[in-house]
Amino acid sequence: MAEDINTDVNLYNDYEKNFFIIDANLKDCPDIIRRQVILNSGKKGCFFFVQGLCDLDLFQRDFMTPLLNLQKLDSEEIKYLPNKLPVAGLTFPIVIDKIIQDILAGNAIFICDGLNTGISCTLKKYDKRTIQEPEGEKSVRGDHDGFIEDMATNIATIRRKLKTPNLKFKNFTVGNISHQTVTVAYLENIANPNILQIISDKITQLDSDSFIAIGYMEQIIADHPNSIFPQYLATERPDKAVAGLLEGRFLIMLQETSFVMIAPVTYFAFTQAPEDYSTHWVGATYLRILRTIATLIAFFLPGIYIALLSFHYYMIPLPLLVQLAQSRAKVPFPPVIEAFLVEFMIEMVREASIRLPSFITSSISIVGGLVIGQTAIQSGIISDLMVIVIATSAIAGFTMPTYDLGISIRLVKYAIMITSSIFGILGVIIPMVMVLAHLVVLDSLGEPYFQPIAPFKAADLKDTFIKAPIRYLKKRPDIAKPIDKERGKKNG
Amino acid sequence: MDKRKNNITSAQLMGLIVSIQVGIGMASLPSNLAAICGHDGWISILIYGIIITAVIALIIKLMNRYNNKSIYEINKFLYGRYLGGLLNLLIVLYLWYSACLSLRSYINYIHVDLLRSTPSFVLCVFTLIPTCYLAWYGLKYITRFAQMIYLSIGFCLILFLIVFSDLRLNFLMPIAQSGIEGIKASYSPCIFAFLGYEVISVIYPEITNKPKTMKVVIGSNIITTIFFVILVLVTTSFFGEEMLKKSIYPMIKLSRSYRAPIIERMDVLYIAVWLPAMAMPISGYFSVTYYSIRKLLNLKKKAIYLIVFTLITILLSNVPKSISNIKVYTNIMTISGTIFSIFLVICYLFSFIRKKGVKTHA
Amino acid sequence: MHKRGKIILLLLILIPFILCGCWDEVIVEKISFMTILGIERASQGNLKVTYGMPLIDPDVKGSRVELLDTETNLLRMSTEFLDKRASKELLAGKIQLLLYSKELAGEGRIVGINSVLERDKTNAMLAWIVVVDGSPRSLIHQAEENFKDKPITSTYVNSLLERAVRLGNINETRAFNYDLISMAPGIDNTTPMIKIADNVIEVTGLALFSGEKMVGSINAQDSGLLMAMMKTLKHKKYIYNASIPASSKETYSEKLSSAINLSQNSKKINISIKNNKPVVDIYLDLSGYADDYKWDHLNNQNEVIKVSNYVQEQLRQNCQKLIGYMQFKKSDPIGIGDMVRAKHNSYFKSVDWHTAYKGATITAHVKFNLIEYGDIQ
Repeated sequence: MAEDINTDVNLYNDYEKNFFIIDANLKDCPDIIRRQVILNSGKKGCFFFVQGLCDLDLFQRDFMTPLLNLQKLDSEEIKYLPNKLPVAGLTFPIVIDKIIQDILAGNAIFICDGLNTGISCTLKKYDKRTIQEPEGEKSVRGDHDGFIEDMATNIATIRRKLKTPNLKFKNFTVGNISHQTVTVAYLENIANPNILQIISDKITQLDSDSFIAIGYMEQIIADHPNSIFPQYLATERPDKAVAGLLEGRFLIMLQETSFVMIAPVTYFAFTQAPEDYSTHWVGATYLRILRTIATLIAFFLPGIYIALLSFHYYMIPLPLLVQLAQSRAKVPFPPVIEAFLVEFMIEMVREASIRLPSFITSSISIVGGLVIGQTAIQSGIISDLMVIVIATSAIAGFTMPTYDLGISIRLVKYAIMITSSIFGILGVIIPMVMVLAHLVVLDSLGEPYFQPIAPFKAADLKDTFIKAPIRYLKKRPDIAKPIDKERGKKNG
Repeated sequence: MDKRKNNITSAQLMGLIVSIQVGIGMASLPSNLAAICGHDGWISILIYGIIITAVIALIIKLMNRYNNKSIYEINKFLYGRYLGGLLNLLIVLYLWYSACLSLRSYINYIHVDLLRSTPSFVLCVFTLIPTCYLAWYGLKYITRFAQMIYLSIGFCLILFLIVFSDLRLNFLMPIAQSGIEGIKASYSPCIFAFLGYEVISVIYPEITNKPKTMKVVIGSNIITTIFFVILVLVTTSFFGEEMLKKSIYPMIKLSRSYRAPIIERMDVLYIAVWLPAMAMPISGYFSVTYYSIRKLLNLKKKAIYLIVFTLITILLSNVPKSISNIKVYTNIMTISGTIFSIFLVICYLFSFIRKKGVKTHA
Repeated sequence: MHKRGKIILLLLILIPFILCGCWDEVIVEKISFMTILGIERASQGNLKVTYGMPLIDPDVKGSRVELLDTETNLLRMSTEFLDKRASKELLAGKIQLLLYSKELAGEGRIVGINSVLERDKTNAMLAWIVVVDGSPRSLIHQAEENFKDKPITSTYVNSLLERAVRLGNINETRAFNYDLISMAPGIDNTTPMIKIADNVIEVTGLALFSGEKMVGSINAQDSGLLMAMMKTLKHKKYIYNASIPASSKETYSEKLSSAINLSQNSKKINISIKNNKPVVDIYLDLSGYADDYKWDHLNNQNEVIKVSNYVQEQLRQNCQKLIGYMQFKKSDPIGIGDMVRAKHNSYFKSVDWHTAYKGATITAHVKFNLIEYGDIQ
């Protein structure tokens, strides 16, 4: 019944008809309260509001009471209403569709006889999570606040950190059913308007029911959706977001998700942690180098180990070789099968520990680590050096500050393990070349993904593998093609 | 064809030329030179490097006379439609031939040093996967990737430094013993080592910074010359000319002859660093040929063309059956490369006579 | 069309992997890697070959190595023969030592046998080439059966040889060194020599080669001086047993020798051709630390100079005697021939170098300074 009625029209002059249309559209929604009143002038009116989203105190005191105290309410009085209603947000929607949207968004609406507009005011109050540090991105010396699901709070958090009028937010509405707001944040005098145009085009072309998490959106608007490497950096930390804004990048925020996406990014943005910038440059450089070596180990160590065992025994130094061969003589499987066994055991422990309640996690690690590993070695299914190698590469994979890259690393590692068992060291080199080729080809919002290595930009190198002292980081990196290339007027 | 995907900056161009030159020539250059002119190979390399530099300068001057055209269009201007078309076909065949031959030498290299029994077809497919992937996306990415050659060259130089104490300078003396005849006779391995600069004439329209091209390409030739001279000097003074004559891939032997502190043997490490560098001429010639074919036949960007092209390349590369066969085909490639270079010089001189399409100095 | 092309491409890439059988796979616990190889002469030009491999199976007790003997015409054929009898496949990637018998070295067959190492890319070119004073087969077997307080033979001899190089007693001759020097005109090889005696294996010194044949040997002390002339004694801890002058106040006759730790400052070789014969002067500048000397007598500079001169004269005489021996045996490890070839090429081409070498005038000039003698005067 309600589908037959066209709601994309202005309010009719007939109050009963308006009420009927809105009521029929919102049939079977008991959480939307229809509070019918009769005004002082004798006219009938109705308040609509969602019970869980409206602040009843303010509604009763600041919206209902003044309206009910008015002597008369007609098209002339509308002009004086903003002075009489002490509410913060006040609009006068005409189209019925907009009125329904406003009701669903949590505003309180009043329609009445004799008025051809509705009165909509923003009196939202609902339960929000408190601001707390995100679980997945903890930091030692950084701030401990994070983004939450409520968009207004998030925007306020950013606004608190950047008190400049150049901080602009551009809104889009996506989702045919969910009608979510996507906000793109940027600093006007730094960010490149071309990239803003690219982002706007991509978002306006989105056509979907709803985006439950920002990951859904990310997969659709990515330049290379089939690549295993993420092209947008998703973060819950405001300091990372603000640092990105200051470098001329764009922030994409989705209503009702606590993750924001930073774009455009390079591969090396996934290897940087916020406390690199808070610590002294020597320590930060050491940590960066450690992470780079850890990435290489995570990628290649199992593959190289399998290649050496299966094809190039002569490369292993002799004392190690004798010991190694002795420990492997008991194992019935070829090295690659053994490696996958250990790898899958570790993966299963890892997946299981995500889903279990926290008080079982510690016992899982005991079971997984000590019992299974030790017993498997003693029973002769796997050799001890293999466990060490695989566990080292797994731990090395955990040093990545972001979660997205962890999965990519693991997938590439498995591919390398398989090819190295067929081709030896060639099976390590060619996938490595392939990964490099893929990284060279990727771009994030049209900007090359693997800079500053390829294309080679020497000026940006001082913030990738090492971290130069902060007084040398005066220029913004080139990834976002910022308009204003230098930071600050004096000192970085 | 997405125009943006084929742009090449000058640094990338330098990387591309160096990678094609070093990848092809490096493996067996010292032993070929030793067989021909004894321990004076480095003098030949130096002299031929200078000659090639002059040839490159003439080629760039030729390209500069026309407004953003590649050799294909220049041929049409100079020689008319039909003769120009035939010449273009020959050039494309030459580039394709080089790609197939590089692939075959590469597979041979792997067979000798790493995997003896793996079938060639499997190795071809496996090796060409990154090349096809990059060629699909355009020349820009091949050249971006080709800049990694500097890492391999750096590693090689470190290896040279390590074995420095084992070098015997007496093996290089008396200098110039082989004389002018030696230099003249060694033109074949030397020219083959330097081949790779001729792709400039094909990809010239895609270069973004044209005034700087002359400096860049001559710079890359100088880098290659210096690297080859050091290579020949080190291998000759390490092995002596007699031993060098007997070996096929002296650099591998050099890496096998050094006893490293912890890992004892270094040869697989050296191969791991150097294999991607040796595969770069394949990707260079492959992508340039694919680009030329697409340009000449005006094809759209479809995967099937690339697949067919790859398959034919693999099939053709199986034609030489053994190492001595490869030597025969290499000689053919050297001669073709020389003819191509001379042809370009002739075009340059001819363009003064027939001035169609020559850009006027505005 | 695009999609089908992609599927075809994917299949083409994947099919070789599915069909593969891992053609070159060599799994480390399923092979037996040889560490020591002993080769000697057998009748009719054959070779008697002994292989030693460490055992890695946990259920084999009582023995650390597996020793296999055979007799064939080619080295590679012996591996083939033993592959039908050994417990695992024999592979040669980790050979540490190649032991040749003196007779085989004297026949000049080492170079020919070494060529097998270059054929296969996995073979170890860093193996030591060692000449055994005796039979390598009996050395290997005896060492394994009798030596209860030593590690396995290959490790033992390997560490012996490496130590001897560090002490300046032998030249580091690995397979690739041997091959490339034997190809070069004008230099001859030297290889370490070992011998088995009682409970030990002893490094006796260097074996001298002329061309491809072994012609003589020198002991460890003289080898150090030869190393000083060939390469350098820098960074090596070479100890020279010198006799020292007796002083007038001497009443006892012991301690009339001392141990000097020699180190080399420089070496220069001058070559000229006079009357169609090479005239060579070798200048060695050595300095030493007195490691073992009688208690007193070094308290003033004159005494030190006197000792220095005395030791210098001894060094010079030893070097000259060594050179005379090498010329007699026509062995030129110092590489004088190579230098003649470099500087006087026409002369080198006109003579047979080994004959000219025998008739050349080679003089050793040694300069020696005693620098330190510890905390005693």
